[in-house]
Amino acid sequence: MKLQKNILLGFVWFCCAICFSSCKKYLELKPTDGIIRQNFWKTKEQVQAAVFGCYASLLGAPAGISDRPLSEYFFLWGELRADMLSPSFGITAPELDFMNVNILPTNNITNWRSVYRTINYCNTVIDYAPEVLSNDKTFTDEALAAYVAEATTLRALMYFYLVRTFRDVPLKLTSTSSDDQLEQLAKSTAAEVLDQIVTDLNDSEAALPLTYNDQAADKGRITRYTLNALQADVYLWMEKYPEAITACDKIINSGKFGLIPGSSTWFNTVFANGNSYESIFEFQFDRQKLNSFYTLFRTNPHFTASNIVYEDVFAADGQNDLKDLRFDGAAARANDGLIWKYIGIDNATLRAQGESFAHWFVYRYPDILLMKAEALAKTGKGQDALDIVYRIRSRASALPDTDRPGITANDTEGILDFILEERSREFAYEGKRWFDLLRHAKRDNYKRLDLLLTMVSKTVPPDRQQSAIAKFKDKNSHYLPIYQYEIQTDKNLEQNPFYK
Amino acid sequence: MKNRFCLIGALIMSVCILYLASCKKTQLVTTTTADVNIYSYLVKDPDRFSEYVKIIDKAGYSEFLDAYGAYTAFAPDNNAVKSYLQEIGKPDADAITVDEAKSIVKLHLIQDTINTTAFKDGKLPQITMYGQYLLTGVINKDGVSSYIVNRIAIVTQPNIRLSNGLIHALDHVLKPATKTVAQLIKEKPEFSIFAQALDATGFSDSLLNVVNNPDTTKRFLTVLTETNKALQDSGITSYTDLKNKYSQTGNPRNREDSLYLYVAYHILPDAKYLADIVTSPSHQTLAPLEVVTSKLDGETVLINDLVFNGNHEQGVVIDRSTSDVTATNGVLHVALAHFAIKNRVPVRVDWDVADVPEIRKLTAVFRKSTPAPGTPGGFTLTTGSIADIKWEPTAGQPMAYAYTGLTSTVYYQWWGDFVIMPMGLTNNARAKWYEFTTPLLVRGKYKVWICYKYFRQSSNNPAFPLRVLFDGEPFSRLFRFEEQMPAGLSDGEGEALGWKRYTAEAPVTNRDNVARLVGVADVKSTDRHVIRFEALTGGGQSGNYLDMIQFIPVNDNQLRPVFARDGRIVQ
Repeated sequence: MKLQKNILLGFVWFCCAICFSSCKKYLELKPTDGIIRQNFWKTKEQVQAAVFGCYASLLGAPAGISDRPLSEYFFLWGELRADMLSPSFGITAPELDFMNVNILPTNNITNWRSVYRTINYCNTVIDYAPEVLSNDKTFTDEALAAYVAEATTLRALMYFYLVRTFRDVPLKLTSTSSDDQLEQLAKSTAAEVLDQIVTDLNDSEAALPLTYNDQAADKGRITRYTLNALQADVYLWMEKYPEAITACDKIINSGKFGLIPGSSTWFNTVFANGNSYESIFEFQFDRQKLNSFYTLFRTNPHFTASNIVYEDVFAADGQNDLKDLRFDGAAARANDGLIWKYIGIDNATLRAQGESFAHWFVYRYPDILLMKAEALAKTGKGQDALDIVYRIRSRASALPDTDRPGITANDTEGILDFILEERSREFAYEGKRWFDLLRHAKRDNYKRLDLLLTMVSKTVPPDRQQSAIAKFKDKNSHYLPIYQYEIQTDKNLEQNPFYK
Repeated sequence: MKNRFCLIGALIMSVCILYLASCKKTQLVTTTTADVNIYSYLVKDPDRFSEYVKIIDKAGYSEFLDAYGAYTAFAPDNNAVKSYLQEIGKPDADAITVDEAKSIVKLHLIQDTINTTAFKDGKLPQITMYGQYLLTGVINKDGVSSYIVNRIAIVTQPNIRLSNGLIHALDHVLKPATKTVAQLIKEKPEFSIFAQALDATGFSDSLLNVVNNPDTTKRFLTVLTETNKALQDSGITSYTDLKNKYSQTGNPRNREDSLYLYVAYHILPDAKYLADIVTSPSHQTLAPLEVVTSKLDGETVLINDLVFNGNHEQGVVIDRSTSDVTATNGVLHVALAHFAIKNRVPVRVDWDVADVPEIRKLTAVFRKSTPAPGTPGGFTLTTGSIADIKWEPTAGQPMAYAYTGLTSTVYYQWWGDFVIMPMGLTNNARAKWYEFTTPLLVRGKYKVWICYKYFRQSSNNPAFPLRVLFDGEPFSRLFRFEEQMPAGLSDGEGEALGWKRYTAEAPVTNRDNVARLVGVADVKSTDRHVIRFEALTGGGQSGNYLDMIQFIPVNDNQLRPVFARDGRIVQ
């Protein structure tokens, strides 16, 4: 009997020993190689790190996910359907289908996932940063409000890209931080999304700082001026011209921005180095995080400058020595049509592949001026609008062939066309051309649909011309389809009727 | 008692075992995929396709549409089939005959997978099993754009991907064309003059009225018909006028007769929709060795719009809205102006091969200072970047463009520029061949002069002859870039030996900037042609400088004019 007891006792001890020695790590649920939310959101430094994480997501997909960086999507969305690119030998099938107006929901350029990833990062900051107030006594309400405003404005910028590209999109305003928070959201209308953007921007304006006292931070983080620039752009899109003028004036009257005089170093200062005083907001690529443009434009070029760029946009006839500062050795290299803006270090020298960190330019000061000019023209101040256009033109020594000499101050449509042309020169390959064309085409109830129809009749191959024109007559075709994967996984999403 | 417990225990156990054993019913998957095939898909959606399924059943095609393969099926929905049946006066799908059902299904079926990205403004790349092409396009109706097939059936749901192909759902049944090209022309009063010409020349019964012509090259024909108004604008108000104008033999059926040729000139072999016409610069006609050229100007389709001998000749507009009419044996287009074969006299062509649009576009390079030619030098051209010049792709020494300025005492070529063509047979860095597409050449016989700048890379190199071919026919004389003109020849002696000086500024003693006669080209049709250089032997050299190629009618003066570096032509 005693022997049995001893055996029993021994067994119990053995079990205990096993349990206590193994339990600790074996049953630990927290990851050992990362930090979890419950342990984060403790200090103000962590809030800053999270906000910077939102900016970092603009530069590329996180490790382990192979996807285009956002800047490449924005380039493709803003340029492929417009008239300034020609396919070159590195072109891929999805890109070519875009250029030929043959977009299907299976085309992976229509994947909006990267944009929603950044939106989710912003939502996470908005949702959880307030918790830090109770944990870190040195964290002030003002500092919190500023960080939240930064995240909110960045989210608004992302939604503005989405609403211009897809029109109706799901509006997700809370973070998704665990599987049980996954939602099958339906689409919101473009008007709802735009209203949300306007509200977000109005709410954030007061909280945002005017400067971070550092040139790179002022151009790489969202300041109140970035918000005003975005406001102006959104109001123009919504055809609210007085509001757009107000927003532009806030930037213009600040006196902190100006046009860098046109000279041989202009390209290097504005584009190759970036963060110039002409700049308002840029994606900050650097040696640690290169952009994807070298492979897109240089190694195996997917695109080169189209004939339209040579003949119509810049009217470079080569007959005299006059040069538009913005063309050869700036937007493109005239010799071979390479898209130079992101691969040149100056007018003549290529970047090395390891140096491919030209920034992505979201807003520059000329954009503010030309947005204001557009709003002025629409509100009956044609002469003021023309003055701005000529200010931009003289800075860049635009060629006489691209001028509209006989234009008068009351020729509103003429002035607007002139501004649209000037924008194509000033912002060549900055991902704006398609959105500019669409904004002008759709204003006043699609009064200028002809802009898109004329454009597409010149860009697609002759045997697709009539089809492309007929497709563009359908307004739904101006917006991209929802990518097939999203449609399959979210049953509440409804495809754009053009792509059904 | 204990036994009884055992018994009960055993019973329970056996029930359990039975239960557990029975549970394991394995699901054996016998198919490789759960995707359905075309026929099954249609069957599964009776709300949309039950009527069309009946037609397929009737035709007996249900099995093969469910077998593996690659098909594109256009599937009309129930309303489409019902209204079609009403139209042909049948009460329901069972009332149509097996043959009719077969024709319907065959017209809706292509043996290839074609999704909407392949839809253009013209015919689909593959023919239907019925033997007629389908015409695609996009139509905008009430602000909604959709693909449309044969100008009648809107694609309501495109690109339904199934394991044996694709379905495009339609809102109308496609109807085969039932009329021949000749019938289409005759039924319209506005083509009456042209129709009479067709009858008189015999085309309307011999060719344009034949379906499934055993001569497969003429199974499909494309006719560019002229409206009466177009003819009237040129002063031809009746068939008699037309006959009087052209028929010089009095017998329009005579193949030498100009009225016969006039009609033949309006007929192109093959089914060519406008999209096919604008994608190729010129098209053969049934008039022997005569072509029509075509061009897209904005949205307007023009034929015979060309620059000839420095003059622009206004082309003839093809009316988009009334053209692209499918017939059982071809396509009908409508020309809005009168056009006929132009009798052109052969005219000399001084062809600057370095003047191509792609180089002209490079404003910083074209006729601007580029690196002086050496080995290699100039501005590098990428293989495939020049539409009218092709060469064997090589890695090492690429083709280049060079400009040498106006003051050199070595280089005297026209406009101061030339192309550099590294060539060699055994040196893989150099291309073995180059092909240049010529400007428009009028039918006739020409002497062909290659105008070049002599260069010899090394005096040790053996002679490096090239073969020059015109449309695949080699010229009588071989050509050498590293050969100088013999010294001391007078102009007359030189011409007799096939040498001449073609530059305006080079001194009389210059033997380097010269032209070599390679032979006589017999240009059989007024069109653009291809001239080809082929390396025959050896490693060749990289510095071959080609300035221009002259086509001079055999009876014209071969020596004058001459050409200057600033572009002047000196008589």
